[in-house]
Amino acid sequence: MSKPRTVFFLRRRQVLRKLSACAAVYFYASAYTVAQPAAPSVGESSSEKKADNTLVYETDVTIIGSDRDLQTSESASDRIAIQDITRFESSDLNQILASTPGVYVREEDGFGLRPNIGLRGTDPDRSAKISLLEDGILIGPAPYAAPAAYYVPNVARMRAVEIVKGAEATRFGPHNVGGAINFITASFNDYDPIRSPNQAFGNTRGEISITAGSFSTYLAEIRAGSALPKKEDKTSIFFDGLYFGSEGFKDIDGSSTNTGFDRSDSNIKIAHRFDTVLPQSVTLKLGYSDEDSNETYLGLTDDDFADDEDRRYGISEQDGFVSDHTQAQLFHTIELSDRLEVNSKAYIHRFDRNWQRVNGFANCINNEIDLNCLNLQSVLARPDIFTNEYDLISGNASSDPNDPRTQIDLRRNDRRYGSFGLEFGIEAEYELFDLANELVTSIRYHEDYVERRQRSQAFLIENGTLGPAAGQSVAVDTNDAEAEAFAFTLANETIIGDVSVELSARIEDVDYQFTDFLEGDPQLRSNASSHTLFSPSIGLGWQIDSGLDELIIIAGIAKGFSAPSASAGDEVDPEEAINTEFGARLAHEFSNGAQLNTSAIGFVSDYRNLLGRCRDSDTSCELGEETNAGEAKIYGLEFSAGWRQNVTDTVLFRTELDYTYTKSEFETSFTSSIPGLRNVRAGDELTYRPEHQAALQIGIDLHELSLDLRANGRSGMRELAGQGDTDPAETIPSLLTSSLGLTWRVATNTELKFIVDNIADTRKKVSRRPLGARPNAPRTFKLNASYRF
Amino acid sequence: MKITCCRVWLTTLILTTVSACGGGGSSSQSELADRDFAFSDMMKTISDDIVIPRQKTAEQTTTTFASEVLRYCESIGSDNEVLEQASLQESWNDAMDAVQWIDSYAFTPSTDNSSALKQRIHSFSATRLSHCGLDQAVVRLQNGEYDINTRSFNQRGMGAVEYLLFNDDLDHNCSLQISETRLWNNLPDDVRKVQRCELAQVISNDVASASAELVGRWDLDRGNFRSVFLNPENLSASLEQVLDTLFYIELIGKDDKLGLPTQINSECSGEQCLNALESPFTRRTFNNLLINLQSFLEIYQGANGLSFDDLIRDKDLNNIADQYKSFVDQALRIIETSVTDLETQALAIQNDTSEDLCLSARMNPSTESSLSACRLYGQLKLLTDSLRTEFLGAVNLDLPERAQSDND
Repeated sequence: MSKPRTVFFLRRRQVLRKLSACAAVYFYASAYTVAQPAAPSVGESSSEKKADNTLVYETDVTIIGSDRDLQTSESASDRIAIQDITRFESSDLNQILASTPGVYVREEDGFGLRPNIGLRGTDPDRSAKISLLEDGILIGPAPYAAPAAYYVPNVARMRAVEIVKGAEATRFGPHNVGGAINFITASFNDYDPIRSPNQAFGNTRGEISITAGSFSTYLAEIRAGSALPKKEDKTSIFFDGLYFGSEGFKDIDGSSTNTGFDRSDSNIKIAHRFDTVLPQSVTLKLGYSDEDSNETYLGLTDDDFADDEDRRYGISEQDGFVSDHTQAQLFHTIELSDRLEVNSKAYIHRFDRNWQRVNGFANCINNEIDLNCLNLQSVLARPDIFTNEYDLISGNASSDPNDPRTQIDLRRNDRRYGSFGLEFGIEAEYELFDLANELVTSIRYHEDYVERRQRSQAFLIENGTLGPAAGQSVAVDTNDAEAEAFAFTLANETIIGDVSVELSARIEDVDYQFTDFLEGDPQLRSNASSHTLFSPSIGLGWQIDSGLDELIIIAGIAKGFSAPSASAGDEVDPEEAINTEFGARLAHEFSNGAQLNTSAIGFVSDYRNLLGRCRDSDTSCELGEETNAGEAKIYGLEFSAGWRQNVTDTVLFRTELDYTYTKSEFETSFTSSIPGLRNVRAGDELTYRPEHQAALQIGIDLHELSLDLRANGRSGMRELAGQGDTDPAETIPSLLTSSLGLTWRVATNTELKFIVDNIADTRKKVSRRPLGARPNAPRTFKLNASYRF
Repeated sequence: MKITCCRVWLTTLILTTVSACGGGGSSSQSELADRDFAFSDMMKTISDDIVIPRQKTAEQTTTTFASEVLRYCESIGSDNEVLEQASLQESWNDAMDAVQWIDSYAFTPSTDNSSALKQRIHSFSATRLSHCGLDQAVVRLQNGEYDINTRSFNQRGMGAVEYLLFNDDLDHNCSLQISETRLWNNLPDDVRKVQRCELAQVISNDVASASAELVGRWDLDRGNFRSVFLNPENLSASLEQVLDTLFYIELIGKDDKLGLPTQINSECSGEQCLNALESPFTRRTFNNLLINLQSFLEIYQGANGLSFDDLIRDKDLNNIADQYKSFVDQALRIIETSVTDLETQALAIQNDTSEDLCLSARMNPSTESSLSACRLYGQLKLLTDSLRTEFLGAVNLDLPERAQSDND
C-alpha cells in the first residue's frame, strides 16, 4: 500500500516543480511590460469595463464572453445570471439548471449534493459526460481518469453559470459531446462602488446573506473584498465564505440520526494589476470546502415509497459521506496590444472523499459473480420474490451470525483525487483580406488521478439497524488510475458582412495508467492506454438587423468526443458524435419598450459510439467498466422566450418560458451488464432523457417588492432503455413543481426574501438509482435576509 | 453412463445479456427479442408454485414410505405381512409418483456435485441399477460392513428400493465369483425377504433424507437456492435449468424410458434393453412416463402463472403455444388406453419379431396398435421435434448441448 502513495507524492512534487518553472518563465518574460486594468466581468463588454480604470479587476473567467457575445454566438449557449441564482436562494444546482433548455438533471438526494447533469442528451449519471469548469478551469475531481463528478462547485457561491453547447463546445474537453458548464465564482468585481455605493467600511465591500428554512435548513454566506489602499487600488483581496446545511427531510427507522448535511466552502482571491507597459493582471484563488452528510445509496421499494416516501430503512443509519476539497488556481492576463491578449492558468485541485454506505449482503463481499450474491437492487425491485432479504433490509428480520447472506456489507469507499494543469491561451483580433477575424487558441497540459482504497465489512442486522461487525474489514478495490493529457484548441471567427463563421478544432492526446493492486496476476495488474481525440467544428451566424429587431440565424456542425476513463479496457472506444444544430434567436424591442428575447434551436447528436459506464452503485458490473453502446441518435428542440416590460418606472413585468423536446434512440442492438443498457434493441429510447421538459417563470417588480413564480415540469423518464409503452416499474414518473419567491428591498442594500419551494408539496420518485426509489424534496419554506456593504 | 451433469448450454439467447458481464456489446438482433416478457414472474411461478411444492410432496411421501418399509420389514413372516405389503405398495406408488414429478428437475441443488442429491432419490436418469451390487450390499449390511454413503449411485434411490422390495425373484444376480452372495440362494425365502427389506429400509431412509435435503436447499431459511434461482443476475443460468427440465421428456422419457426397452434406441441390444426398464418390478414405467408428461406440461404452462406458453402467446404464436398441450394430451391418452404395460410390450419385442409393427406404430402414433409403447414413442417424437424447432424458435433459445444430437 505504501508504494503507490510514494509514487504519487513524487509525482506531485514533480508537478509543483513544473508549475514553478512555468510560472517563473512566464512572468519573467512579461516583466518589462506596463499595464492598464482591464478584465470584463461576466455579461459586460470589455469597453464598458475599461472605461472605469479606477477599479481592480480579476482575470476574465467567462467562456462565453459578454452579453453581446452571448446574443451573437453561432451556438446555443446560455448564462444563468446571479439574479436567477439568488432569486429563490437555492443551493441545489439541479433546480437552478433545470430551467435551462438542453440541460437534463436527475435528482438523487433532494438537495443536489451530487448532481447528475447531462447536456443535449448525454448521460446525466454523475455529470460524467460533460466538461465542468470553474472560472474556466476543469474542476471535476479527475475529469480524465475518473470523470464521475463527485465534486461539483457549490452554486450558491457563484455569480453566474454558463452553459455552452453546439459547435462552440468543441473548445472544451475532455467531454464535449454535449457541452460544458462553467461556474463563475463571485468576485470583488460584483461589489464595485457602482453597484455597492455604501462606503460604510471604506474600501471593504461585500455582502452578508442568511437563510433559514424548513428541516432546519440554513445557509450563511459572507462575501467581503477590499482594495488595499497602500497599493493604490492595484491589489484586491476578496473572501467568500459559504456555510449551509439541513437536517434533512427523511426519517430513519428507529433512529434519531438526521438525514441532512453540512457543507462549508471558503475561498479567497487575491488580484493584482501590474504597472507595466503592457496591461497585465494576476489573480490567485485559494479554496477549501468540505461536506459531512448522512447520505445513503439505499432507497425504498416502490410499495414502501408509496406508503412513506421520506422513510429510510434503519440499516442505512450509519451511512454517510465526508469529503474535503482544496484548490489553488492562478490566472494571468497580459494585453500585448489592443488586439492581442495572452491568458495563462495554472491549477492544483485535491479532493478526498469517503462514502460509507450499505452496499449489499455480506456474502457478496469480493464475490459479486457468485450465484448466491443477490444485489439490493433486485430485492428492492421485487420484495414479493425476495421476501427474506426484504425483511432483513426493512428491519423485519435479524441476521444469522453464521450466515453472511443475512448480514450487511458496509462499504467504505475511500478515494483520493487530484488534478493539476497549465493552460496558455491567446486571443487575437486581426484582419485578413479585409475581413475581421478573432482567433482564440490555447494549449493545456493536465494530469489527474484517483486512488481508490475501498473496503467492506460484514455487519449484523439487529432490531432493524446495523449491529456489531461480523467480520474483518477487507479491501475490495485498491487501485490507482492516472491520466496525462495535452489539449490544443484553435478557434477562428471570421466576419463576412452579416455572416460570422467560426471554425474550431480541438485535439486531445490522453495517456492512461490503471493499476489494480488486488490483481494477483502481475501481467494483469497494470493497464496503460492512449487515445488521440480530434474534434472539429464549424458554426455559422447570420445577423439580420432591422431596426427594432435583431434576428440571428445560427447553424453548426461539430464532432464531439468523450474520452473513456482510465479503467476502461482497450476494446472501449471514445464516445464520439456528430452534433448539428440549426435555429434562430430573435431580440425585439416593442414600441412600448417591451423586450422579447426568443430562440428556437434544433439539434441532432448522431453518436458513432455511445459509451455506457459502470459505476460503483451498479451492482451487476465491474466498477469502471465501459461498454461500446454503438450508434445512437439524440435530437430535439430547445425553445426559449423571455419577455420584459416596464409597465411604469417602478413596475417591471418579466416572464420566461423554456422548453426542451428530446427524442433519443439507439441505432444498434447490443447487450451489456450496465444497468439500463442490458438488453438494448435498435430503436430503444435512452434512459433518463425526458421527452418534454419546460420551465415557466413569471415575475413582477413592484416598487420595493418583487414576486416570482417558477414552475418546472418534465415528462417521465425511462430507467431502462426501451420503446413503446413504459412499464411503471422501470420508469420515473413525470414531475411538476413550483416555487414562489417574495422579495422586499427594505433599503438599497438590504433585502428580505420569503421563498416556498415545491408549493404543492408534490412528491414523486425522481430515481431508483443508486439503490431503490427516492423522492424529490418536499415543500420547503425559507426566509432570507441579505445586507450589502 | 449418462452425463446429466454436463448440460452446458451454448448460448441462452435472450439472456446472454445477464451473464455477459464484461460488456462488449454483441449485436445480434435475435438475441434481444424477448426482453419485455416478465421472466421474473415466470421464474417465480416455476419456483414457488411448482418446484418447491412438488419437492415438498416428494419429501413427505418418501418419508412416509420409509416408515412403511420399516413396518413391512417387521411384518414379514407374520400374519400382517399381506396387509402391510398392500399398504407398502400404496405408499410406494405415492412416493414414486412424487419422485417422478421432480425427477425431471434439473436445478442446481439436484444437479450439482454430479447430481448427487438427485441420484440419491432416483438414479435412473444417470445410471442403471446394479442388481448384483445390491445383492452384495444386502449381505454386507447383515455383516455390519455396509455404509450407504460409500455406495455407488447404481445401488441407491427408488430403483434400488424397488428391486429389494418388489422383485419376486429372491435369488441373487451375481456371478459365482462373487463371494458375498455365494450362500445367498441357500437362505430361506423369509430370511432373504427380511434381509433385502432391511437394506431397503436403509436406502428408503436415505431417499427420504435426500428429499428433505433438497427441500432444505430451496428453503428460505436454509439453503435459499430459491433466491439464487430468482436472482435476476442469474436469470440466464436459471432459464437454462428450466429448459433442461423440459428436455427431460426427450432425453430421458422418450430416448431412455421408451427407446431402450423397445429397442428403438440402438444404444442397447437384447436383454440389456429389458434391464433398461425403469420400474420393471412394479411394472409402472408407463405410469412414470404419464407423470413425467404431466410434470412437463406443468412447467411449460406454469401452473396458474406465467410460463413458456405465455411467452409464446406474447408473440402471437397461439397455435404453437397450444400444440404442446395437445401433444401431451394425446400422449397421455395413449398411456391411459394401453392394454398392456410397457414391461410386457418390451418382453414381446424382445421375444418375437415385432420390429416392423413397432416401426409402424411409431410412425403412426394416432393409429391404434398393440405396441402402444412404440406409438407413445412416436407421439413423444412429435412433441420433442417441435420442441427443438418451433418451441426454441418461438422462445428464442438454443438447444441444450446434450440435446443437439437426436438419437433417432
